[in-house]
This record gives sequence, structure tokens and C-alpha cells, in this order.
Amino acid sequence: MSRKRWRFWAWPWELKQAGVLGINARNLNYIAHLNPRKLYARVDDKARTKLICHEHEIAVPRTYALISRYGDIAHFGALMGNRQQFVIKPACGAGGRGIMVVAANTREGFVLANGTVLSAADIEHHLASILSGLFSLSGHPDKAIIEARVMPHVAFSEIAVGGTADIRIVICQHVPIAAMIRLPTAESRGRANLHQGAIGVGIDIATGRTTTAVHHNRQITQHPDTLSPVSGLLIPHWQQVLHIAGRLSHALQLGYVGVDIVLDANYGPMVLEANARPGLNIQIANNQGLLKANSHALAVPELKILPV
Amino acid sequence: MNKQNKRTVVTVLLLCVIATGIMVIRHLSSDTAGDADDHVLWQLRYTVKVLARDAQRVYVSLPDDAHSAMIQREAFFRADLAMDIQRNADTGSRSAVLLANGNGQWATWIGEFDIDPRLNTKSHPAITQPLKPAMRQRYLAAKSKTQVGSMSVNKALAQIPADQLPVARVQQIFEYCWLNISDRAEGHDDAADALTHGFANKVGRARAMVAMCRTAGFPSRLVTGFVLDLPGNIHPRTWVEVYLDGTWVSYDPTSGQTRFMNQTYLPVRVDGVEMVRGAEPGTWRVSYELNRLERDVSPNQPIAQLPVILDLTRLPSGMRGILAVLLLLPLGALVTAVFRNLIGLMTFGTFTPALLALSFLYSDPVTGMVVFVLVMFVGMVTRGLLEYLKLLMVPRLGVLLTLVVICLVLAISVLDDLGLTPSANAVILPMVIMTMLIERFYVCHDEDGLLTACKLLGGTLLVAACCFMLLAWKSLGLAFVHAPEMLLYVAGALLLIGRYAGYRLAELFRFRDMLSPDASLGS
Repeated sequence: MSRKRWRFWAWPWELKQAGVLGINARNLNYIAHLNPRKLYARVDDKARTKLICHEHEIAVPRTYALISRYGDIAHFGALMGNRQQFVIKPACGAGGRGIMVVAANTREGFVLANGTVLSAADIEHHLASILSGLFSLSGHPDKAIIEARVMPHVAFSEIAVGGTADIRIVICQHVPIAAMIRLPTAESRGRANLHQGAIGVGIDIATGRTTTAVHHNRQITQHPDTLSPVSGLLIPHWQQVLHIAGRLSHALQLGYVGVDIVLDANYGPMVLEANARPGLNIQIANNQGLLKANSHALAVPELKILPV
Repeated sequence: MNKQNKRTVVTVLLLCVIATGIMVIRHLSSDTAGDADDHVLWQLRYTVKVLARDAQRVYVSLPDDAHSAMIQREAFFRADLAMDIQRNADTGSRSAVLLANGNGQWATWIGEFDIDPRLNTKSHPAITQPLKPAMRQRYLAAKSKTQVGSMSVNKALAQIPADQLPVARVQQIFEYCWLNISDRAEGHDDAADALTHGFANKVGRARAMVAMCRTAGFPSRLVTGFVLDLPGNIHPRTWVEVYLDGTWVSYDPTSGQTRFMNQTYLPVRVDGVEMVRGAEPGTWRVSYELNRLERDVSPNQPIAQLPVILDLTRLPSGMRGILAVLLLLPLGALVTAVFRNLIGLMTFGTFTPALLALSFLYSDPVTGMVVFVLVMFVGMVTRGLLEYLKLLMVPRLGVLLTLVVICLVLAISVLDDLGLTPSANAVILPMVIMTMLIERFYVCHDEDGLLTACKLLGGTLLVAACCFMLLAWKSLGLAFVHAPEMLLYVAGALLLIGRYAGYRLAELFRFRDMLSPDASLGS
């Protein structure tokens, strides 16, 4: 058993040798070069991403309603009818903010996935907050998407606590270069965002098998809530996941993009959203720097753009 | 090196060359101007001691930019005294208001003014200024010791022929006072007494002239100030100004100088005699000291080589103070960039810290901090309560803003009641920024937890503190006023940071586990 010497920091040349991509380098050398700003709206607005997915026949959760006017909020009850489960999310939200998962529609009210019971008025207030831009990236007025709730795949029942696991694939020049699966924990309150306490587990692109895992930037081997191992699991439908991610990257025409995919128990892999500024934690989850993988992707002959 | 990096480096080099070139020219031109040493730089120092009693306010008249002089620098030193600077709307004179805290001890206040006695073209007396009717009324009216229209004054005025030009008549009034009232230190300072008895002190003689001028229908006033000619302990001098042909013309009954006063006269208080007032006699003492300063740059001649718009030292002192802060703001941006892009410290908002620092600069930092904490606390509690009402975003922010304003107003009132604050300046905080800070802190606390929210707030305050120290660095600000081209260096530094693709300091910590890919923990 080889145990790493405990250290408080790493020297820059050590990180460089490990191929770690820093935020400044990501912004200057990748995002600024490969992602034209006018195309950002395609991913910053999830409603547009969904439309693009529809055009290219890429599976997404079914949209029940798109609310963009305050007047429509009053019709919310009629729109939902007797649908039992749905998800409300801001079209331009960031970091999982403003997402509300309704698990049941009972006489007492709407029961959320975390057990909270809300009245129709509470939901309407939440919709109004979304429209006013409270959760949007820039604070601009926003739209609210109401869509089908994804049914968690049984493969992750032991390691996704209180929510749905999602798979993040970073695609550079349309080549998948890194992948991880994000597992919600009790701490992250069912959300799959690493900064909120979710776990990131690296995935070997070639085999679809999980490798190393990270929680709060530190490496772990088992889920902190269920103590189930998180490494060595085979992701179901892996080839299909890669295929969807690649097609979306082509459809978006973004050269450096993170695609979030969920596995639905009934419908298989579906695109949740894409991100033009994918985070760097995926490196820690995989215990491998993106620079090495990126330079491989950039070596594709017809796409020589970058000095790295 | 890629294309962008090359372009950036070339731009930075270009900026540096331009800035250095301007600085060299500035240096050379100030050297040549420095040879002309017919001008001196004076330092006037007020020392005021106040017996601190309950809420005792003492007013001290301060020198200001005048046509004959420019205040290059001013500094105040105070112990146990709160200070505010006010300007009289009618006369334009500045006063420092000193507020003692009432511990019964003597408190000392020192004001230092570096005065450049060059002609200030902006306020030259030859420029005609119309006198407003209310002001004309004021400068024709009788006062307790200036008995306009009294018997003795009328009697004296009767000896001066009325059928001549105003200038000649005023000159004759001046000469009448000069010849018929002898100057005795023990004499009265009262106009009527001076004219009746034929002797008075210097102020009495000046008042006699004012009384006669006003009776004859010429608006006139006393001006008190200093004559800057010999260093040492000096005393205020009072002279007379008469409004003739659209300008104020000076007459000094002490020296006999009339009409064309030389540059050594520095007016301080208009329409008044006492430099320090507002307290009972015996509860304050004052002394004035004049020193000659070594002049490092002598801007007395127009700088030939540099366009005059690049010489900010020619601007009035108040303007220069504001420009100094303005010129330092880009440094605030530089600090923010260093913290965010080189160190990797996250803050609420991009320029929120710099703007917070700016507001703290205008307030007294301790009072500012107390008010800041108070507003944050009340804001957070209210934001929590507002959550129950389920309001839309803009009205909710509006309610928070209203509350922040109420807090600030109450804080000013309470602090004033406790005798702790000199002015509303002390609590001027950017209220909209405070409101957004409260909202962001609350939402972040709700979404990402208290720890993340506190980290962000801590980062914001740390960057704000650094910006504050930089903005409060007076000599740095003055250096920028002297050589504003240094901003090009700042811009260059920002450009370089803008192309920095290396690791942030925080990433050395964040990615520390990734050093040896084959050895993961516990495997």
C-alpha cells in the first residue's frame, strides 16, 4: 500500500508535470480560443440547448411547459393537471440553483424530493423568483422550464443519495477527453454539484469504469453516506453516453464544452445541459490532469488551433 | 509565445515607453522651472488648544485657494477632537469645526498648510463678479461695532467731498482714517469710538473705514488673514475690502497698502475678525507659525514642454484631493485582479471590494466598520424574515435598501447624540452595494452553506482592506496627481495579468493531491 506524503500545497512545476489545467489557462487557452462568445447563449439558456437537442434527435427529459411571462404563472396548476412528478428549473440557472424536484402531487400539496410539502402558492412564488432572474447567471430576467423528472437508474441506487447522479463529459475539439460521474450526498442535499458537497468519481473513457473519487477536493474511496465503494463500477450504456455527448458537441459547435448526461431508468441516457466553462474538479476526480488529455485531442490534424 | 501574448507584451512596452517619456519630460521641465527662485513655498501652521467641555464646538477659519495663493497640501493632526470642514455659503470661507468630547482636558488640534504664493489665474480679482442683492444688503448694514449712519461717522464723512469718482472717494475715506485715527494697542476696536476719540487699535481703525464706506453707500467688509513675508510666530491681520466697479478692492489700514495688494496677503476669513470662535474665552488658545519650505518643484512658471492639461497640480486643492482618490481607483482594480487571478481568492461581486474601500475612505474607518457590521446584521435578520413573505426580487431588494437607509440615518442620529460623529460623511456607505451584498450573502448562505458565504464575505473584506490601505495612502495619491502618466504602468500591469495563464496560488492547494497519479489514497 503506497500512501501519499501529506502535503499542504504543490509547487507549480509539479502541477505542470502532472498536466493539471489551471483556471487562468483554461480561460485563456481553451475557452477564449475554442468557444465563440456568440455561441454561449446555446448552453447558457437550457431551453435553447433543449431545442438544439430536439433538432439533432438527442434525447432530453420531456418538457411539460416553458414559462416566460408572469401572467402564465397563474395557469401553472392547469398546466400540470394531475402530473405526479416534475422538475422546475431556471433556464439560465447556474450551479444547480433554483432547481425544484417535485416527487408527488397530493391533496396536501406538492411533495418535494427532499420531503418538504409546498402549496401551489409556494410553487408560484418560486416560479416568479425564477422569472425575476434571482437564479440566473447575470441576474437578467429568466424563463422557467418544467420538465419530466428523471428516474434514477438502479445502477446508482447505492451511491446517489437523495438525488440523481449525473455524468459530466468534457469534450475538446469534439473528442471526449475526460469524464466523471457526480454523486449527490446528504450534504449536497440531493444536488450533484461538487462545490455543494457532491462526490465526483472519475470514469475511464475507454472502458466506462469508475476510477478514483473526490469529495471536497480530497480523494476518497467510498460514499460518505452509504459507505458503498464508488470505484470500479461499470457505467451502463457507456458507448451511448459517449455518442450522445459527441453529437451534442458537434451540434453546439463549441470547441471546449462540458456535457451533463443522466441515465433514466426507462429511457436511458439523456442530456441535462451543457456548459461552456466546465469546471476543473474533473481532474481531481480522475486523478489525471486535463493538459495531457487535451493535447491529445488537439493533436487531431484538421483542428490545429492551439499552442498549449 | 503565441500571437496574443506577443501583442500584449508589445502594448505593455509601448505604454511603459510613453509613461516613462512623459515622466522624463516632466522632470526636465520642472528642473528648468526650478531655477527661478523668486517664489517661495510657505508652511502655515495653526496650533489650537481647546479645553474639552461637553459638546463644545470651536470654529477655526482655514486658509483656502485665493487669487494670490494656492494651498498645495494640507494636513490636520488632532487628538480627542472630532473635526469637520464647513464652508460658509455666503462668504465662501472655510472653517474647521472642532468638537471636544468633554473630558475636561486640553486637547490640541494642529492644521498645516503648504502655501504656494503664485497668482491663481482662476480667481483673479480683476474678473468682475456681480454682487447679489442680499449680499449688497449685508455689506451695507450696521453691526454692533460698525455703527453705520451714527453721528460720529456722519460727522467724519461730512469732511470728505461727495462729488467725485467712487474710487477717489473711497481712497479719501481710507486716507482720513489713516491720518485721523492713531494706532494704539490699548485702543478700542469700535468704529464710533475710533472716530470720536481719534485713536483705536488696528481692528477699530479698519471698522471705522468700513462704517464710513457703508454710510457712503459702498458695500464693504473686513477681511482677516495673514501676511506671508517673514517666518516665525505671526498674528492675523485685518484689512478692508470695498466693492468698487464689480470687484472687491483691498485697503490695509495697518500697512497703508491700497488697491493693489501684493501676493503676500493671504485672506482667510471674509466678513469677520476672529479666526477662532464659538467658545467662551479662556477655553481655547491659538498660535500661528510661518515657515519657509524647501521647494522641490517650482511650478511658478508655465511648463513649456508639457501641455498644461497634464499638469494636475495647477488645480484647486479640493479638486486635487478628489483626483488623487480617482487616480488610485485603477490600483484598486489591480489589487482585485491580483487577488482573483493570481491568488484565486473569490469575492462577492467584481468591484464590490474596491467600492467598499472607497466609501470607507470617506468615512472614519472605525465608525464605518461599526455601521457596516450593524447594517449587515440588521440586513441579514430582515432578509431572513422577508423570506416568509415570498416577495418578488426587485421589491424585496427595495425593502432591504429602505431598511439599510433607515439604519444609516438612525446610526448617524444616535452617534451624533452621543457626540461621537463629526459629520454624515462618517457613515456614507454605498447603500446599493450594501443591499446587494446582503442579498448575495443570504442566497449564498442558503444555497451553499454558511461556511462558503463567510469565506466569500471574508475574501470581500480582505480585498476591500487592501484596496483601502492603497486608497488611503496620501503620498501615493499625490504622486499620481504629480505624474498621472503612472496610470499607464497600472494599465500595463493589468494587461500582463490579463494574459497570465499560470496557476493561481489557491490552485497549488486545490490540486495538491494530484502530484503522483499512480498513488491514490488508501489504495
